[in-house]
Amino acid sequence: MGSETRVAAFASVSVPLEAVEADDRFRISTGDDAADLAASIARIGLLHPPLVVRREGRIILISGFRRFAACRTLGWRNLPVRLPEKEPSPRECARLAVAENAWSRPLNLIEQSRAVGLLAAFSPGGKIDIAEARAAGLRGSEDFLNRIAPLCRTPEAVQEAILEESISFWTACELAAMPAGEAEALALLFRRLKAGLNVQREILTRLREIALREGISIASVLESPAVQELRDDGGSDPNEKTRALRELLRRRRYPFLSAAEDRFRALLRELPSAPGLRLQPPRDFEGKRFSLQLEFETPEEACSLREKLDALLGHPVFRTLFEGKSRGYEADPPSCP
Amino acid sequence: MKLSQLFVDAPLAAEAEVKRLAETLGVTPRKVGSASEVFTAVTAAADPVAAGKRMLYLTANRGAFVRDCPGTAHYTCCGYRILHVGAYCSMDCAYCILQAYFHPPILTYFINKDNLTYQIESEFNNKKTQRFGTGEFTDSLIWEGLFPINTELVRLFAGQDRCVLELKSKTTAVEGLLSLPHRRRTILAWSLNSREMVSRYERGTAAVEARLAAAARAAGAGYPIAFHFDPIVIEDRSLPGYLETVERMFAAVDPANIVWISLGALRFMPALKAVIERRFPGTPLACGEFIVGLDGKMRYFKPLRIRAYREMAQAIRRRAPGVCLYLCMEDEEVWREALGFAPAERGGLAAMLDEAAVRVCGLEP
Repeated sequence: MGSETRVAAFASVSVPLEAVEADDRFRISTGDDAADLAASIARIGLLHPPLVVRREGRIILISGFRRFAACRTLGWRNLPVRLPEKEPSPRECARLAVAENAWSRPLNLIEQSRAVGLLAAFSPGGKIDIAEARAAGLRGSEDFLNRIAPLCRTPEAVQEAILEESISFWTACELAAMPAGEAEALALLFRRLKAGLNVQREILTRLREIALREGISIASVLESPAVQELRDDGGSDPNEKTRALRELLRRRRYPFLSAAEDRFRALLRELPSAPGLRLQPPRDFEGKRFSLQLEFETPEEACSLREKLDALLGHPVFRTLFEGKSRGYEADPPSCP
Repeated sequence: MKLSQLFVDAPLAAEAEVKRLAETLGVTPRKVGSASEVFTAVTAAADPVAAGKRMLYLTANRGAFVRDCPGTAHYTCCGYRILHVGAYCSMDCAYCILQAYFHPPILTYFINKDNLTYQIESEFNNKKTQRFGTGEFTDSLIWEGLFPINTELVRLFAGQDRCVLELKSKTTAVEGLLSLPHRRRTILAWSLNSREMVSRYERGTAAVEARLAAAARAAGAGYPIAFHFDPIVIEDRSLPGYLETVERMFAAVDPANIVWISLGALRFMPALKAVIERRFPGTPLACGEFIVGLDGKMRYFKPLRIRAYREMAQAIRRRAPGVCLYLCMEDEEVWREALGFAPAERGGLAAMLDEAAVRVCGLEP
């Protein structure tokens, strides 16, 4: 192999268009609008006839679905096609269909997924043969090809989100592993939020962990009134909506910590107002060290802060900030779950 | 322990212990030139963590057999000294840190025990109270029936009066130890959990009742006993299960014969989370209300830990007011809030445990 010239031999023939059957298993292209192509063919002609095979007297289309649709739109009675001189096996048909697409243009993620699925469907054991995939023009590691394989089987909303790049590749793979209903709901959510990868990852992780903690499905979390209200609020800015959703999920994921933060902030509000002074608790109330930040622009401002600081330190609530930390600022320690 | 493969460092293949084990198991050891050959075999498995539990690597410990407990910054360590006789575990607890601690994880047993004996005897010569244990990097009793390590250690510790050995386990494998002349220099200890948590997160371990029955047998043979509620898993309505185990514990063992009881809430290196999620899909274990602790480990939100410890401590003290109860890897604030004092007020945690060992095991002070 390698030094010998090998040309795929096709006969160029014309067949009655109505006799051609489209086998959707071989469809790679995601574009189904053939109007532009029809206009081009009407003006310039069909440059590259579709590829068909004969099976038990039938003519099966395996590549050129848009060209076929465009010619039908144009009302052609006969369709010029290419027909392999030697009847190919189904696996060879799959290879031809993928190669025709992959070597002629860059495939989007769903098209790559379809191509992988098509090759795998006719491979022994239903597994992708990496050498065959490469020969057919697919790029990426075996791991990548395996990860994208299920994407073309996700609900339409997920595929649309992938194609319009409103969900990241990581998110797409995660959604592909989820029940269809949940994946669809999340795709719709992410399309509305227009959030980046890190935020999508955070939201998805939070949803998953909330569902596990509460012993419910992700769909149930998404169906909660607070999440639905946010999702269906058409007026808010997507960034604002994303921020609100993240906060909502954080509170539900960390209810005790969030409540403690609320109570800490409420205590801060009881202290005398002191612009220029900022008191910070230990991170997540775990350590012992609080921090107090002073901000000033002039020596006079710094001196005025001294008085405010004295008032702060002398206030009874100031002590509560320390003494209540181990209880999460509850009157009694939090009820143990 | 079910083993599928036995590896041995080529220079050790002729050792009597290796030959005896191979005969016992009915397997031919695969001689390896280096550890990397073993690691290659483990990492080739789809789930190396699980595969490593069925492969045993016999090698020599080229480092120290006696090590200080790694502890972590900012939290109070018990000052326990580790006897590094082997590594990893044949049981499969979802929270087990050993899944992420060894790269790759594989059951490992050290054959060059002469060095171990020498190093322990050197420690005995220090003439001070010390606590040693083999349960840090492995379960102490999984090696029963394969190697006489525990018998040898029990006999070794029985020959002195300043140090104790703690053998910590989730198994019931005490049969071979019961008749040994231990002189109460060995503490048999069990990790305990609620029955629900055992069934959910401690795959392949003995049931709580079985562990306690083994503890009762060990106590009947004169051994001092210890218990470790570690890790305590804080989930919705999880506490009653722990309180039930506390009751069962005291029904099984006389509090006067308990050297110490420790409490430790689940904590883990962040890297373990992905391992848990991959190996135990659908488990809520890593979805507790965790924050990043000062040592970088994931820990439950402090007020939740305090509440859990406090309620368990109350239940334990009701039944055993004099027992040495301590917290594993917690700070002074948690100690005060949960137990009402800080270790420093009693000379430090290590001193508290030393005192308990002297009192219950009859060591020379």
